[in-house]
Amino acid sequence: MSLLKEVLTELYKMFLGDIGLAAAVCAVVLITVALIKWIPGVNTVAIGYLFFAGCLVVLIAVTSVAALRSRRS
Amino acid sequence: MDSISWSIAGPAIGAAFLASVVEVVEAFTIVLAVGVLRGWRPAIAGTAAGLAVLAVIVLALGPLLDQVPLHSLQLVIGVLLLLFGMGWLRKAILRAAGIIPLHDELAAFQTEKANLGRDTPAHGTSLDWIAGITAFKAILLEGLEVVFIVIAVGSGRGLLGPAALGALAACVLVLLVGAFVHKPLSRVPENTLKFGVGVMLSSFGVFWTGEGLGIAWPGQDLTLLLFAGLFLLTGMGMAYFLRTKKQEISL
Repeated sequence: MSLLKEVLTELYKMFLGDIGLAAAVCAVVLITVALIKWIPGVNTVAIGYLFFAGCLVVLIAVTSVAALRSRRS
Repeated sequence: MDSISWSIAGPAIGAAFLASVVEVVEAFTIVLAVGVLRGWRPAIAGTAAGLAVLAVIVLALGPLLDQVPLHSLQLVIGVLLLLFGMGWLRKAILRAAGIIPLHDELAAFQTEKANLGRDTPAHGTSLDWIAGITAFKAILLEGLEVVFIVIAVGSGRGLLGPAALGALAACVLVLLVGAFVHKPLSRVPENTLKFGVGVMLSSFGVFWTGEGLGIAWPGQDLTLLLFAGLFLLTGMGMAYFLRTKKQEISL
């Protein structure tokens, strides 16, 4: 039972270890889905590059926040 | 393999190989501690059992994933790869900037030896059992990440076999080097590897998620290289910026 718990904890840490990162990535994906589904005739490639840019912004933001938190503690 | 695009197979196999090196080195440290302290029989038995469970997971999940519609699979795997890859990349940037300490295999080895030394079972045979379970858990828990990466980069384009071979090659390499030096592999540039794997997995994440949403990337698979280059530049830029800031503050 404790082994199963450790496996589940490991799986949780793999994807949701940083809740801020997970929430931000999901938000960027949802915004991309919304843009593609709700804007008729939208250029999906341009939205794709916007999605990529969003991921880079998320990476910069979560890393900066983690660095700031580390300095404060 | 003739029909496989090497612009996507190369990064897939490379990501599986490099990620496996990182994880197998960590697992090897624990198995080595078990072997040195409690003998090689439980260490090898635990390792073999762990590898068998991981192989069953890959063999069971691989064919199941073939039943899922391609776009849905790409979307789900893409988002999971983004979460996992960007998590690794974020940690690698913070380590490269000196904000969090690098992983120390020698310290991990000493900790594991101390933990095993503390275990005092009621009768002799339990010692082997505890040692075997420790090795089994190390292989299973570290191997789960490798299994995810192999499945994530391999499914959807029929690359499960090549990605698994990349992971297997890493296992063989680490075990051969480990058996030769017979001590924790502390000189493996783990953070550099993690940085590279984080870049590759994040790039795959963007690529698969986009394809899952119906985006036809111009240049198709070659777009992966553009994503990887920009993730790498951003990561290195962030590491440099944070390291400089840290030095300014400490002056």
